[in-house]
Amino acid sequence: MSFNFADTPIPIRTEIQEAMRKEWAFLAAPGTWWSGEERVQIAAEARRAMAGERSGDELPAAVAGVVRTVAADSPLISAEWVEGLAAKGVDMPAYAEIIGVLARLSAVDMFHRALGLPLEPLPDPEPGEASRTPPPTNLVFGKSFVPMAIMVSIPQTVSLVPPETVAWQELSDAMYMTLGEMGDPDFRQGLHRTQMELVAARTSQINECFY
Amino acid sequence: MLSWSAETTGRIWDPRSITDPTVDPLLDGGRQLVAFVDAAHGSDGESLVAARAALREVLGDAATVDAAAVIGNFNQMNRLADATGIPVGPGSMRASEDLRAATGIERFYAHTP
Repeated sequence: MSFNFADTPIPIRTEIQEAMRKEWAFLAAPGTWWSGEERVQIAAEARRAMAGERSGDELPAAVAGVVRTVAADSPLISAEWVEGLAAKGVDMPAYAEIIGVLARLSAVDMFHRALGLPLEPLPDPEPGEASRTPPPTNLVFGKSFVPMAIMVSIPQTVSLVPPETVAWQELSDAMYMTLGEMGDPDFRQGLHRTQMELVAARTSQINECFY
Repeated sequence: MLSWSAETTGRIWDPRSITDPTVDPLLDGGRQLVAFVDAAHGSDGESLVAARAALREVLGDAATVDAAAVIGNFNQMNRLADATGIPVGPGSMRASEDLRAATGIERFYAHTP
């Protein structure tokens, strides 16, 4: 079983364990624009980039380059850079799926790192092809690099690939709070809401993320 | 969100602690939380062990797990924002005017459209 925290020195909330197991199953399954095998390869390439290791040879070099930039060199990302991805064989929806996979991987890996736990081995990929389900037709560009739903917020960032939005929501619900709980300024789990937001703000400061 | 939660629930806090770790956030365990966040993003394993132990001692295990979860979640959020160039809406810009002035985070705006 993945994410076996039985021997962990600090008890991990059941919701977090279940959400991470679900995320690993989703990562391993065929996606919308990438197969399960490619999604796991994308995650592996991101881990290499984050560790400062050389690129592997599973993914085409151009795709690996995109993955490494998103994983470890985000200041290089601009509207022009994203516009140039199609010429590298990565169109907007495929890029959005890469972002979704890598964003959730960073959540899982940073959680382990912060608690001094070894990184969870990546899952074995499930067979099958990507669904290639077309994106919703009601998305707009606005000022963002990729089209997204008109109500601009973090949940909408990868709305080009709806299953990625759902996966983000499920992981965020367990690791942070649900959208319903976000309306409660007095929310408390292990931390009070104000303490949670201090951690969030300091994390974003270190990552130099204005949003 | 931090200002809103603190003000609505009557908690005093110092916004300068977001950008200056020498400033006491004035929240319960605030110094230990900031030190834990910093150590989790650093490369010094011993500092992380010490920061985690200090946080566990002051706020307990459940709080430490939640802090790690929020760190993970906001690495996810930051990556989504940076990779998609999502703009900050005008309402949020207005609401955060004082906080942006106090913390100096305006300088990161160069990375957004």
